Amino acid sequence: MYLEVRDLKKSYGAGGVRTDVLRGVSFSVAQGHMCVIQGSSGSGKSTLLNCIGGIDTADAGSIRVGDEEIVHLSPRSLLEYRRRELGFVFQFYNLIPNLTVRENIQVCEYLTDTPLDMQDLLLTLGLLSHADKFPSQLSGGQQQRCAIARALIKNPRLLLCDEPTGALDSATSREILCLLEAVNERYGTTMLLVTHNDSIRRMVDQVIFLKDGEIARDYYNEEKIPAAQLEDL
Amino acid sequence: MQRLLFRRIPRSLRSGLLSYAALGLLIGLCVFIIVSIIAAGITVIEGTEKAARENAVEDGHFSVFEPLSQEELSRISRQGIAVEPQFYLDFTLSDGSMLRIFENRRQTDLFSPDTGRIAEREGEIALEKKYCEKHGIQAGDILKIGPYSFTVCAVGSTPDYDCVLKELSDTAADSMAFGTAFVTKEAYLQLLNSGESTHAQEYVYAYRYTDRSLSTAEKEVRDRTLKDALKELSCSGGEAFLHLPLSALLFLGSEVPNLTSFVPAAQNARIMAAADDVAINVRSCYAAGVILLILLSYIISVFVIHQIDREKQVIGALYALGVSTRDLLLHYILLPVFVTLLCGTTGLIIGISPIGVQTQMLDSTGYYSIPELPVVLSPALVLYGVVMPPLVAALVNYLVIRRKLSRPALQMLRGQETVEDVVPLRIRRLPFLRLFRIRQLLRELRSELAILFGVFIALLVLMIGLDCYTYCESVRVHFIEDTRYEYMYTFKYPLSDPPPQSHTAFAKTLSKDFGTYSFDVTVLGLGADDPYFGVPKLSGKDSAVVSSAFAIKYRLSRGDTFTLKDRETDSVYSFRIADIVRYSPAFTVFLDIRSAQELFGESDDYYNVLYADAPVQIPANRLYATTTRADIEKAASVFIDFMMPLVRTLTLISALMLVIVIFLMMKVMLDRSAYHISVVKLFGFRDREIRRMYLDGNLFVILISAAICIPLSKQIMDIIFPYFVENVACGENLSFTPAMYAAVFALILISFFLSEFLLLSGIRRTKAGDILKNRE
Repeated sequence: MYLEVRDLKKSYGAGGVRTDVLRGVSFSVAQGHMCVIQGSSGSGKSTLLNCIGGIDTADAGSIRVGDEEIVHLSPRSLLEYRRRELGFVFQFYNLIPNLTVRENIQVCEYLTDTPLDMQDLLLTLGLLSHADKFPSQLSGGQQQRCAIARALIKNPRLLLCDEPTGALDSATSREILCLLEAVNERYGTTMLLVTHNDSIRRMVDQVIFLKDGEIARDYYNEEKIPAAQLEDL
Repeated sequence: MQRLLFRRIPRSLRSGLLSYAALGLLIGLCVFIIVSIIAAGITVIEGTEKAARENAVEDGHFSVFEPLSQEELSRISRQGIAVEPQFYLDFTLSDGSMLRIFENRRQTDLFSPDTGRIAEREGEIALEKKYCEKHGIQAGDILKIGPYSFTVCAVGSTPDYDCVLKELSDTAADSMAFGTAFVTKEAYLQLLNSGESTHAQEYVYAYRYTDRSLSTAEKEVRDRTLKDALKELSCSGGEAFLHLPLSALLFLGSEVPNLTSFVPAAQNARIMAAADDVAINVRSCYAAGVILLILLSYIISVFVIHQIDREKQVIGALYALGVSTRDLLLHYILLPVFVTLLCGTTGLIIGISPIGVQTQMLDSTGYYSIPELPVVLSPALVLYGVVMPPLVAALVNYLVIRRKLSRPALQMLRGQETVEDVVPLRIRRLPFLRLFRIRQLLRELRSELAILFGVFIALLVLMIGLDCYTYCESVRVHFIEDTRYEYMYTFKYPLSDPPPQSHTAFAKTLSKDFGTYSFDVTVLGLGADDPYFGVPKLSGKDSAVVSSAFAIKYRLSRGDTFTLKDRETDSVYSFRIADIVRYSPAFTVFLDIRSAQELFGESDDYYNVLYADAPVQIPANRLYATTTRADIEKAASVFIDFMMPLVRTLTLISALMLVIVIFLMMKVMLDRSAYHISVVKLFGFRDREIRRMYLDGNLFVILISAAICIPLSKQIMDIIFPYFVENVACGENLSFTPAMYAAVFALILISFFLSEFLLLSGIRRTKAGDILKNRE
């Protein structure tokens, strides 16, 4: 398994007002798989994503990514881990507004010695004609494509997507999901998607439901369908 | 709603404490500088004017070879002019300093005691305050003058020796070397009869028009009339005739004019000198105040725009929820208005406190002999310090929020930057870091302009200090280097045979106007063998070599023609500059001695100045003055000693301004990018890389600012500075050494790196997770 989470615990607050957000979460994701994490608000899915992304620390348990245990890494090592291993895609894109599409992608290209080919990526993501535009000149879908390109340029082994279609309409959401699917197929990137959207779970390899900080369900999707065929997005 | 929103204000203040503190410090500092300098200036001007009125300052004075007769005095009095004899004797004391002794005044130029009372008994003496300060003398001390001992009964000042210059042509007052004193009539006669004064009694009369409503122009007319009348008076003979050389007597016949000098108060460098000195400070500070206000307004604007920019999502949300524009405006205006009001008021209070006004007044009270003055505060300063900063803050807030609210609420809710917010410059083929820095620079143009502007203003302040230092240090060094004689004797009655091993010269004092001032210029006729001035061979009356001091002060160069005026005869003399020699201690026009004698109608054996390398025995009553190289060395450092505290203060203020402006604007830039810094941190950028992306680019702005502002501020100050020293009889080159330019550059760089260092902690504090918190 590429990603293995074992008995992960995390709580906030102190003394009598302590809130257990993750109560011994365990699961694993195989390399190259797409996995969706779902749950209601406050179920702990964002905390789980933060811990895997190395921007929050777990109180107990283990997170193994590839061959590396990250739970007790120092902040410096966590930074190196993010730099080497991860790509991030956010709900509101978080593009740097005064950089063009190409330049936004260059931000992450700078972080690796072996980036993917920029032109190829722009072409794959349908951004070639928008490469010199600024984020404010793009639609939401185009901005999210740019954010995906930025995350992919350094060819990360694990892509963390936080509500990647949360700010998009149905057609654009489908477009973005098709893109993620294509990327997954082409580059073999392991993807972890946090989403409220129920339809998305039909296109991924693995689905995890979180409830009150615990895993309620964790299953492999036997009847995976292509993103293009998803309905009710 | 307003009450609810009001709760956010202390929280906002706490979260932006560092930025508000830096902004507040900058406002306080600017208000403090302007208020303290202007209040000090107004206090000195109004205070000395009031003291001059109360102590019946003279309208002028004149000196004569021999005392006027009662009839001559009555004739003048009948013209509505009160004339009071102010004869004096100069005594050298055991410590080498000189005291000028006057009889107590009754009508004009009255002694104003800070402590004690005027001399009432023979053994009492009232002393001028600066001399007392320098010599540690207090009321009750005993002072030995000639063969007599005096008890100091008062320490104070007189309005005719506001600047305690020994001679009117002196460059600077040196209270270690010279002071004035006042004794009873009996004591004065005893001192006169002691015969121990350094030269003969000087017959000086102060005059004052009885009609106090005369305008300046009317006074000038009456001055001219009085002078013409005095010029008609001739010596009756006696002492004056006995001491004149035979050739002079032959030339003049029996009609020797009695008047030796006539100095209206307006031309007297000793009177109202402190007020004159600070008048330019006040004028320039009003101008500087406007410039600083523009800088402050700009910086407050940038700061406020940034604060509102950061809040645009909150503004959008509140607006969408139905909060009125008025409520929003009021809410966002309150904090910056409160901070600017608080800091402006604090700056004003400190400015008018002893730390401000009294410290600024040290420039005047430390040098000029003026009474103790109560602080005068003008309403304009209150307006400047208390009203302007919050008004600017409120106005900028109002305009910016209005503009923000004109955008669609959704755009603000999403926190998006619009196409107009981005500089659409296409940049190709640049390494990522360089490209990123350029983008960042383009994004933060407003703050960078503020940095450039701030650096310029701070450098202007610094240049005042450095020009002042250069000027005073040049005076110190050049005065000593350029004085090559050991002794200079100025004769009232020259010796018939000049002593051997000495060099005679003929000097005539003329004058030349500079702005509102008139300076003495010495036309010095030198012998062909003169070893002291390094003047090339001279010939002719029209072609002259001038001292560098004169050429610099009057901005003259070789080939130029200039005129000098004889105040006594109103004759005007014209000269063409053949050459300029370096000579700093005085405004001097060099001629060969024969040409000078011919020009002023003197015989070819006449001289009135003697230069020597060793002391020459000359009877005191023949001399006007003796000047030694040691005197000049002492006087040379007066300026630099006096001005160094000001130079240090200005350097400190400008360094503070540099650091605050650079820090504040870089912090604004960093805060504006805080969200994206957390994004790139999340991607795995290291702090060092983030510093290079977001902070190091500012080094280019700093370098560009330095490249533009150092020469520009120097050029501007070199034009302005001569007006600051308009009243000083000195001309010095203001050129900086390369080391000084390097020091200015280093100061800017240090300010930048210090600001960067302080801001690095902000980058370290920004967490990668902040971006996700923002989402939540």
